[in-house]
Amino acid sequence: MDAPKVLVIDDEEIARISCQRVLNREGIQVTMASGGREGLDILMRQPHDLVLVDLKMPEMDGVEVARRVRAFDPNLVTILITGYATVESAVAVMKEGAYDYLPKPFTPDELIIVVRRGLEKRRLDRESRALREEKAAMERNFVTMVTHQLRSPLGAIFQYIEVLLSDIGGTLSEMQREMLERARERLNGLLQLINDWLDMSRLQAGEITHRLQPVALASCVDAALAGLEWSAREKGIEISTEVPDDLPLVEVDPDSFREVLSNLISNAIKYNRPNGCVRIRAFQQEDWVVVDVEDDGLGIEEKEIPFLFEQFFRSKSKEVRGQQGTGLGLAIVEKIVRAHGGKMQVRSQLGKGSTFSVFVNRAHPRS
Amino acid sequence: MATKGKILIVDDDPDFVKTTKMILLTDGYEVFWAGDGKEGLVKAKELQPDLIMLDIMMETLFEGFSFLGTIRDAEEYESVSTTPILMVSSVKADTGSRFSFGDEQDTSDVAPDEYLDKPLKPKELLEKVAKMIQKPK
Repeated sequence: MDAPKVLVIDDEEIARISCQRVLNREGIQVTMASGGREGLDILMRQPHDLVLVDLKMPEMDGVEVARRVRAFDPNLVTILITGYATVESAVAVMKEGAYDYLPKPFTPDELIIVVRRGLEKRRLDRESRALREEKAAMERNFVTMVTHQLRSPLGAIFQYIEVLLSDIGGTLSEMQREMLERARERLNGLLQLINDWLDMSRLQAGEITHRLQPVALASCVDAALAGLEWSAREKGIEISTEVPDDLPLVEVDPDSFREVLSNLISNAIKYNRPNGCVRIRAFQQEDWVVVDVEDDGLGIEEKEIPFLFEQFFRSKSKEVRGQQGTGLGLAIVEKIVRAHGGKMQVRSQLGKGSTFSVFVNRAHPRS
Repeated sequence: MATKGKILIVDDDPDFVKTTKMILLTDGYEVFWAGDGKEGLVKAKELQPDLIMLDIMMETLFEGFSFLGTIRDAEEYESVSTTPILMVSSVKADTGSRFSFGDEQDTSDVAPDEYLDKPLKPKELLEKVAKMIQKPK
């Protein structure tokens, strides 16, 4: 490993040089600066592991230096040298993100111990960061690989069935058709389960909060609808959208939020009556932006509503049982919405239809 | 017999190719196959197809995207640089230009003309293909 690099910022030359001498003996490389500005300048140009800074300096005091060092690189370890070792000054210094402090006067051994400890922390931080990054990359890769390895063969089987059902391989008897249709349905369920399971594992990785950004809701709705036109047409469902032009931007991760909407809309299509309607309406309510997805389908029994968002919950009603479903869709929706700091609401009347409302935060105006 | 058009499938899964080919043949298209991106580029230039169906993950994770970038931008493939491309994948992806595979691969600057999820549904595929080939180049 390379020799650790320490920057000493002190306005007194004697103090700088004595630190350098002590640390050099320990195999530590030392750079020196006579003031905060010069020190910060050096940090920008050369990477360092640790900064040793004097608290009392004329041009910029050590607390300010510590604050700026932290803003520049939060992983850099800063140690303050304090002339008057009171508890208050120590606390103030630590608050500004310094790792430790060293009261003056100190012996060479005291200096070495404090610096060694700081460097050790730096090393551990680095290692754990590298491990975390590696783990995240592995998880991402794993998800992608599982997707490919599981879905590819199932997709190939599915397509054979589709081709046979289109009579491309010859005309089917009624019984053959029925059996293939069942096979297709079961396969569909399995594919959906894999998708949902992957969504769940992505959510558990907690990726959403990193990706929040101001987004126009209309674009999310359009993206969600793009994948659903086909199934709506097949069932003769009419979809209407009402998103006002002056709606504020919302603070969301576009990919996951599209997932939320497409999940809700696809439910509204699936549990609808033939030739029914799905209405998507967005509006502002207090600080929220709300999206309603309304269907005139089966509706949900009141006693089942509290359980809707639980994993693997599926309605006991016969109509719902007749549809393929994994019991994960709404659980995912709710998880995503909650990760956005939002909430879900459901209104439903058995036999009349349901409305699922998504509440999300509007984007903060950026300066 | 005049065909409805020439389609080149670039995909490494023989079962997927076989069924897709059957769907397209039955509807009157002429169908060709390349098993990876490299072969795809050679065949595209040679055949001058009316449409290319392109898989994303083949030998490598993002082979489809390198194919896409090359055919669109490399001078060598100028004669096919505007051929409509229908991307297909079993990896659930956005219909737009952004594909969510995580952060390491930002593919936002190349986009296929259209996208479909695998497995393909015959009717949906034929509708899309007909629309894409019809468009004046």
